[in-house]
Amino acid sequence: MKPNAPPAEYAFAYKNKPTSGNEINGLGVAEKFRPVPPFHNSGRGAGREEIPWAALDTFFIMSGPWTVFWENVRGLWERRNAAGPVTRDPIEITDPQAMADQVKAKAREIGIQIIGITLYDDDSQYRENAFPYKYAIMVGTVMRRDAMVTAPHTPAAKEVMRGYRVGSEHANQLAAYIRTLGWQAEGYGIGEDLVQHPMAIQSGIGTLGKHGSLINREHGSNFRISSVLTDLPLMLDQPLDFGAEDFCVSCKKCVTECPPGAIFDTKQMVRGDKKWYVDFDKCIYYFSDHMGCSICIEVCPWSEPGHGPRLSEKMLKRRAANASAGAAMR
Amino acid sequence: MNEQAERVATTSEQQFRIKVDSFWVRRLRDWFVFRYLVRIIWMWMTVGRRIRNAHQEAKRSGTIFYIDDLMGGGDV
Repeated sequence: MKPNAPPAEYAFAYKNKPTSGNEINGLGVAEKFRPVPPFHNSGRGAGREEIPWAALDTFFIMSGPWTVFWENVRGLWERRNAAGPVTRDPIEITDPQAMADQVKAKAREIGIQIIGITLYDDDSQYRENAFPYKYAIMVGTVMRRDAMVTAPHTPAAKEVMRGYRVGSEHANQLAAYIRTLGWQAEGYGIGEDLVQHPMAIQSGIGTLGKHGSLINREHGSNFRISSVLTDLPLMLDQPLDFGAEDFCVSCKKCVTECPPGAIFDTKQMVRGDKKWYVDFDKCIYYFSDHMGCSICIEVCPWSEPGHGPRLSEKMLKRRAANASAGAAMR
Repeated sequence: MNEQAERVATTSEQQFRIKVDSFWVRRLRDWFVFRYLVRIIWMWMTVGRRIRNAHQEAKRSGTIFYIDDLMGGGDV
């Protein structure tokens, strides 16, 4: 366990425990179905009472220190800028690749460090909340490493909330730029009704790690996701295989450092797919007691600045060597 | 659980997302968002304070603070 991490002992509990988050998430279920939010979510029109673990979510939000809460409030205020009017007739797009390059250049100008483009996927939504868009631009906001190493304490929690807020600002600025081209676009940040991970993987900005968060080739898990949904025709990026998957198979760092022991060491069947999975019911109490925790993303070797590209090179070389050894054996 | 129902605007859309090109409609939205934020800040200062105190007290005394007691909870 991480040396400065408090043990997984809690002075709070539910009298009447909600339905297991693992059951809601479809752990062990071979049938495919759309995800349902057990915890964070702004809720549908009907409101937060639909979220099974809403009381713990409220405890999480209300029990943290003011500095963390204030970042959350600033992020909510930023949401005003998520949508807006389209101010002109749409420009004609003849070359989606050139348009994608132009949008990415604008993203860099805004300060966005990680970006990928994919199709908006009907499965990337909770239940019946369809969004009327064709493309998703996935944005990654890199967090400050000096703050993240303090996880699970306040500076890391504040940095995570800052990452979400800045991610929202970046997505909203990029959406506003697209609207000036005459195409509808909206920014999406934390706690909204969009399931961002699957699209982020498809857009090539990362792969799913053993700890249930994305791993980016350069920045590891040290980033937050936001997105822009739009109809602007863009050339799509492809999922990127840079060796993180192979690495997670043999690495146990997040598994051993997780105080409540919530991270499975092997892939689990979840809603019809075998994938890395974190035990919701074990994770969520520690997560709520320690302002979002973040230990697993902090200790991930890919999150160490400068390590990612080297690890990627090493893993891909090893895979190629194994493949040629296998071919020679045959 | 997965039936495709008619599209319903999300809470977030209702509260924050205005696509109308009207200065006053957008300012009215800002006012509503501002009021909403003042309300959650007030909650952090009142309900939040009760939660933080009850949690600290439970830690000190080695007892358990039931979050249902302050906020309701479990399946609804």
